[in-house]
Amino acid sequence: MNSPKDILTSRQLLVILISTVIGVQVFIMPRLVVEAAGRDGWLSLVLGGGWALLAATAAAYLASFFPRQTPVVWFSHLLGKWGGIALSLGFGCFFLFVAAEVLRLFTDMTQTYLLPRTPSEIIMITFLLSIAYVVCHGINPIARVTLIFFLFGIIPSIILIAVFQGKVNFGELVPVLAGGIAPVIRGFLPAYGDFGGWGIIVFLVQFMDTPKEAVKGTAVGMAVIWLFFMATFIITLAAFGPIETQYLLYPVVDLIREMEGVGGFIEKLDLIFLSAWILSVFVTLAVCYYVAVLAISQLAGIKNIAVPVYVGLPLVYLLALLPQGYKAAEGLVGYLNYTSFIFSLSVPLLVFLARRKIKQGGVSDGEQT
Amino acid sequence: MGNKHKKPMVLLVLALLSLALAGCWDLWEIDDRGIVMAIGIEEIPPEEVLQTQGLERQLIESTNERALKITYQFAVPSGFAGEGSSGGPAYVNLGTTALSSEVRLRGLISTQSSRKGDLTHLQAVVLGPEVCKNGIYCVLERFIRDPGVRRQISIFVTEDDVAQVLDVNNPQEPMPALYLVSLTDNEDWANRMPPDMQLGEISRRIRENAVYVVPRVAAGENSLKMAGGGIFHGDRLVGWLGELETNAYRWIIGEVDTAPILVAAPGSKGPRRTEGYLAENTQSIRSVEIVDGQIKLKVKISTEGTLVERQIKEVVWSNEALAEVKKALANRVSMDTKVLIKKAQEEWRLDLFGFGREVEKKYPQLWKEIKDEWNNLYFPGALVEVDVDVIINRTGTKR
Repeated sequence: MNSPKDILTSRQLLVILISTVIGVQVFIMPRLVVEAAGRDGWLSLVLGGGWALLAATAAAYLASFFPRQTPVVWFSHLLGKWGGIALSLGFGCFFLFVAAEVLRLFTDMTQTYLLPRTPSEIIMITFLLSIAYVVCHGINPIARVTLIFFLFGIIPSIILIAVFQGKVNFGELVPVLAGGIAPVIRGFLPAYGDFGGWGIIVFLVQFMDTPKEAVKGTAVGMAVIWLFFMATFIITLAAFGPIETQYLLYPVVDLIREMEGVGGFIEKLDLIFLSAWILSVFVTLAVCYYVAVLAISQLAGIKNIAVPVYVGLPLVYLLALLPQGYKAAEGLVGYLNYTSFIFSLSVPLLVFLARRKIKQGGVSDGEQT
Repeated sequence: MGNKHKKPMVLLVLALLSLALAGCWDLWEIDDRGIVMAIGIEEIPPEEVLQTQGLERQLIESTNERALKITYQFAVPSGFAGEGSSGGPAYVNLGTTALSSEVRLRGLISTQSSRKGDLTHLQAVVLGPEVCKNGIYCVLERFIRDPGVRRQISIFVTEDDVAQVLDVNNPQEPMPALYLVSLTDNEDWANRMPPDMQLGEISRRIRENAVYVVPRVAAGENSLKMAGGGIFHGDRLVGWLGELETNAYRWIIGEVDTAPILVAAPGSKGPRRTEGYLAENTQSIRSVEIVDGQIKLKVKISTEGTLVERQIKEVVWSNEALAEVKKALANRVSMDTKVLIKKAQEEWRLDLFGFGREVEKKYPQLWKEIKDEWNNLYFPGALVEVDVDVIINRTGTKR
């Protein structure tokens, strides 16, 4: 089904997961969460991140029942032919939309801070073409590129936020639950939506020779992301307070802009940070697009994904350009969050079905391959 | 090289050459940038702007806008000290007036400047008293929104003429913008300056409708003086904090780094002799408590430091003398802070010190009810308790 060279180790899976889930939404996340939950947004993140961690780990566990099998096949085993097709198509379209959304938000942010006079079409087309080149060659090159970018782009960015020096006041976190539990629940969806990229796990485990390891890799990866998002949120809140955060378009970028390295000697770290972040967005976009193309081409029975990769590019480009203005583009984030949440609800159901089928002996499990 | 390699090589060279083209098309050379170092903003009566006649007058859309006079301080790179220095001035100030918006003014200033204005290196904004009284949000908004402008720009208020502050001729630091910023670095050394207030911080305070203090500068003959501050509520200037008041203010908000305090030495005769104490490590904890339905504001200041001056001859190394000095110091700090809190309660009726936030932390439900009337009613009516604890760690090189 897949060419034999397409092998992922669990470490590669971990790195891909972290780099993909940390995309562009983290830049606006504190604003969306604070808007809904106020000071208690970190509790929303605890809930949202916890739920995403459970969903992702369960999805990896589920996929490990079917080593070296594409979800397109085992979705149909579990849900019947049409249910399987619908779910695969759903995943494919979801990641296509995610890719378009990531591309759009990234372009808008780049134009705001880095390339104000470059037309957005140019940014999008160059980005898409370089992604297409990697995606065409399958999961292995993606995994290696991700590892390199992880070392040079994402780790420095994480360190930069972790060692944030500036005027922060962690007293901003109290009082806790002053408005009761309702705001925390309201903040759940925007908080959870940040982790929405976990869905790639469903499609990536098929490349692993030892899929049982995927569960651990996924859990560790999601935990790292969870911590990172929590830290980002708490530092942003501590630096700006709950009111100003709501008014900042990209609170995390403004956080980096407030930062001064080495006693004020280095300033404007946002430029370095954003340049490094391009690598992270590259990975997010590449993996999301790859999963979308993979789902749809496996569904259609196309072996060579190079053709669908190039056919799909204009689609992503058009979808990314579709919303009029930044506000409309960001409004779509809400819909994607809902969709991702529905997927996460379907995972326990699928696990239940899979266990029942295995007990009945009706499904090929690990031993049969 | 074989012939079959020729074509790819040519293509490669062409591809590499094309790299050199990228990125140049929107290049804005440093020599062509008019780097704005500081901006001074003051409000003027609209009549001064509305003097034009005919169509020009019609094209100024509205007469109901605020009129501003803005001074831009451009850096003159050839005037900077260094080998290539021409010895000329390091800056040039260009001023212009128009209605309300800085965006309009920027276009206008380009009619005078040889280079287009570039705000990415902006260091300081000086606000005049009129513009502060009428609200600074609409003036500063444009800078907060601009991604090219840093959030760390220092903001100052002045009671003098803004243009005069930006045109001070100081031999130590030829560029007034940098001179201003370097003064803020001294705020840990001289407690008469309030802590530096930056654009991002002000944006936040305005959103929270908070009370805060912005450093005040005054222009002298060939120097500036930064001391005291303007008290802002939301985005309006509502009062001035004096120099010694600022000193007490910093004790309360716990921003004392290395501050000297002086007390009269006990038992000195004739002209007053003093003891000088340098605080090296100070903490101030503000809290609130509700006692019998009465809000009580508590300030607990604990400070450790060195005795740096003692103008009477008796040695300080005795338990009695040390205790006496400590007591005098603590009394001094607690008296100063109490008087300032009292003034804030009675005269300004503004919670400068952030006690409201402490109420919110401790009694969130109560805070929801009283927050609208906090400055007006509850803060002025609250009891105050100040507790100062002084520890003298060292006494310099004498005993």
